Amino acid sequence: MMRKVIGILLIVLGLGYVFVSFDFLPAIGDSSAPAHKHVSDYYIENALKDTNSPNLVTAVLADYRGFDTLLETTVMFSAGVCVVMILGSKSPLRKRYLVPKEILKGKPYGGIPAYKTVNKDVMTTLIEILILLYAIYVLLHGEVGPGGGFQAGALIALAYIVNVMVAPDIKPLFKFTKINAVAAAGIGVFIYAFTGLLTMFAGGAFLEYGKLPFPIPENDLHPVGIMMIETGVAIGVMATIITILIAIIERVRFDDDRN
Amino acid sequence: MQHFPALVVILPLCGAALSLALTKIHIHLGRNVIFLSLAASFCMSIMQLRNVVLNGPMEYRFGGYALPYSIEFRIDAVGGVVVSMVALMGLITAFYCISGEVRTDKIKVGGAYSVVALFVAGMLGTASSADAFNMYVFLEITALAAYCLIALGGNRGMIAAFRYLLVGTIAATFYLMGVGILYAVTGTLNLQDMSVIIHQGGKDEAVLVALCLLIAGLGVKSALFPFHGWQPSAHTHEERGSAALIAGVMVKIPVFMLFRYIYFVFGMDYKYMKQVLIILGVFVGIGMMYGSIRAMGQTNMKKLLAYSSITQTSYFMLGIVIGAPVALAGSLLHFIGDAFIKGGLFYCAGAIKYKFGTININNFGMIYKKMPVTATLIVSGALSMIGIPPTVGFFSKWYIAIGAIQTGKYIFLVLLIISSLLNAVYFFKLIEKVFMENDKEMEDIRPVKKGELPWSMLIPMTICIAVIFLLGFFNVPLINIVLPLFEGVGL
Amino acid sequence: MPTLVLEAILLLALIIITMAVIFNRDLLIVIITYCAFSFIAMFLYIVMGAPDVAFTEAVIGVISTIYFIITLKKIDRRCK
Repeated sequence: MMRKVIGILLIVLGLGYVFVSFDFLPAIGDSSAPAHKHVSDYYIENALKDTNSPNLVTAVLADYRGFDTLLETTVMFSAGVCVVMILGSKSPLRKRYLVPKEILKGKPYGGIPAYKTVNKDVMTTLIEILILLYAIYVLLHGEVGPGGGFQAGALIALAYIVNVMVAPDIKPLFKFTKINAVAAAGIGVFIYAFTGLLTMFAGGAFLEYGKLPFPIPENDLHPVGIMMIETGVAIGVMATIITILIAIIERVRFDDDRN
Repeated sequence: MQHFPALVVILPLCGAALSLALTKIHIHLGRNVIFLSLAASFCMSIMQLRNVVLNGPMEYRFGGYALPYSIEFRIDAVGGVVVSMVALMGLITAFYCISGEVRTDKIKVGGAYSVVALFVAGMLGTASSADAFNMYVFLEITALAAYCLIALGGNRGMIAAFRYLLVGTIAATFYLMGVGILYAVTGTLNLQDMSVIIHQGGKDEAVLVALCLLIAGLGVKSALFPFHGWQPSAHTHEERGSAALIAGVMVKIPVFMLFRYIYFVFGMDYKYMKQVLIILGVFVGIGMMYGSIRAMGQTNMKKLLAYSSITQTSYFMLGIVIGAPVALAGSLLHFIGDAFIKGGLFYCAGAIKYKFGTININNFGMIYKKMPVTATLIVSGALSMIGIPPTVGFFSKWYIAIGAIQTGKYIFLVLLIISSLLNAVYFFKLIEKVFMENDKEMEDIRPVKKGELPWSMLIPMTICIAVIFLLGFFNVPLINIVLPLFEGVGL
Repeated sequence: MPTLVLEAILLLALIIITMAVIFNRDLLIVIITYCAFSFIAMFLYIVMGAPDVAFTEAVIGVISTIYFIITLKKIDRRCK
């Protein structure tokens, strides 16, 4: 215990001393600092003309540095695959089926409430629909306001989580299995890489949206390209979050609560 | 031809993404697609290396914008050779994994090859990239795949993987802080642009703090001497099929990144460079002794090889610390040869465990009668580690020693000779246990299969033996390719 | 000037919450305090002028709290 505290104190004091006593970094918000002049000025002046999207964050993330966003989506997908591989096996049969016999004696319906409540049946239906509508809005307006692919994918997954967790006895419309969810995440990453390969085979560099082979005037091709990659990112993020949820649930049962 | 730098990295990535979806159709379709993509990546890396040797460095800009405003891949002679090595090791390890798959479970078959392909794609990208933040993201992909591969090795593998996860994430955070300070001071993320702005002067303290944070972060990931705590248990308890990749290639790529930062971004005429190199020299010197001394008392073959990896990492950093062009070239030759040597020795350990079920050295006893190919690989690997001609280990240590004499740092020459002699102690013990001791016999746990090993294990081992000797014979053309690049840097 | 005072208060609250997360013994309290940490980090991102990042942090904070509570059903609720 003492060793942990000494270790934490050493790191904090050491880094603190370095950052406070040497004043090598420019002040926050100083408009003549190099971080605000060299590359940022080019982005601020030319982003609307080059990429046709008013939101500068989306312009830099999805167009100038689109390759980094592909790699970040791959990081999320690989987290999903790793969780599936490590939590892969089901727990042995004895543990899964002996416990409920003792618990179920005292509880009717296996522990699930038998009557209709406002929260369970009415509000979750309304809330899920609102979350899904907002997710589609955020996805399609990623270039104009804050938003984009990551947020939209996480919101769609949140709607699925609410459905599974709050009312487990109602049959859901889509039921994901573990391998379907991981395969969907892979297809999301592949859609993103496919956009890049399409531009490469049509004569430009990887992810150069001006050379997509669609019969649209050149200035409108950039929003089309950004929309394609945001769709890929949304599918990938949604499928990864659902995968981790299913992998954790399959190792835990909800009615072996002894408290 | 101009698109090859990007395709070398993108094809394994697409293969890994599609592999699980294709496994639903047929259980081996995903695996075959990944083999095809790794083979195509290897062929493209060889053609790209030939192009770079004939015509000069290749550049590839993503998105088609002008240079400091987009991400760039830059392949010069050194990068081309490293990319080819990683592609070849990835391809033969994927073959080696065929013997370990669980045929009844679709997720495990498709997922295992997918994780290996992601690992190889991450390392290929780190070696090709010339943009500071892009290197960080590729390093994260590699690390995530490595955590999964170590954790698949049983209960003790999970504990080792968890410790590596905590330490590795903090190391990546230090690297990111270093890149953040460099961006705040120079205003750009492209390595070449950064070096131009730093050489204009006036920013020396900030760059010193950034350099220390970078050395701390990349040193943990490559298991340099004081930061090596995660390494021995992680290499001992990992899954059998991928031990060669993790121990042979993954700990070397952060050393390559550190080389790029020290020589191409900061340059030798930076004000505080000599003091930093002296401190690195102390770490390297102690590390060479420590690895050999700890390895002498081990009876588990994998743990012995894991401690000897600490010594090998110190040899790479020794080339960087000495700084003469010949020493850098020798260090690069050792880098490439050691991937095949260490990888080959881990293949042998996996093969002995597959056939006999245990890898305790004291019980080996006349293995060479039952497993001739494995015994050949152990002997050639051990000879190369000690440094006996005509294997590649001798030539690389020779070049590093010449570099040490040229710049007058005789202490490193003495340490190099002492640590080679200490290596000889335990590698000769290993060779002796393979060939002598005819009073101990090990039981074969799979007696129905005839022959030594399945063909999917024999092909990677044969390729490793061939490469160790070929690199030893043909090392002069290789040094002539990379030496002009090193003439521009150096003291 | 008022911006710096607001940021200082939020950062101080962040340090206190982190101490509570590390040195507590009941895992359910640790999970809920971690959710509060995520909430205060979201405020910090808004004050620094990054609405996209704040949006993402809000959604991910909710999802990761749900994962932790599901895992808590399987393991022991105390911690040595």
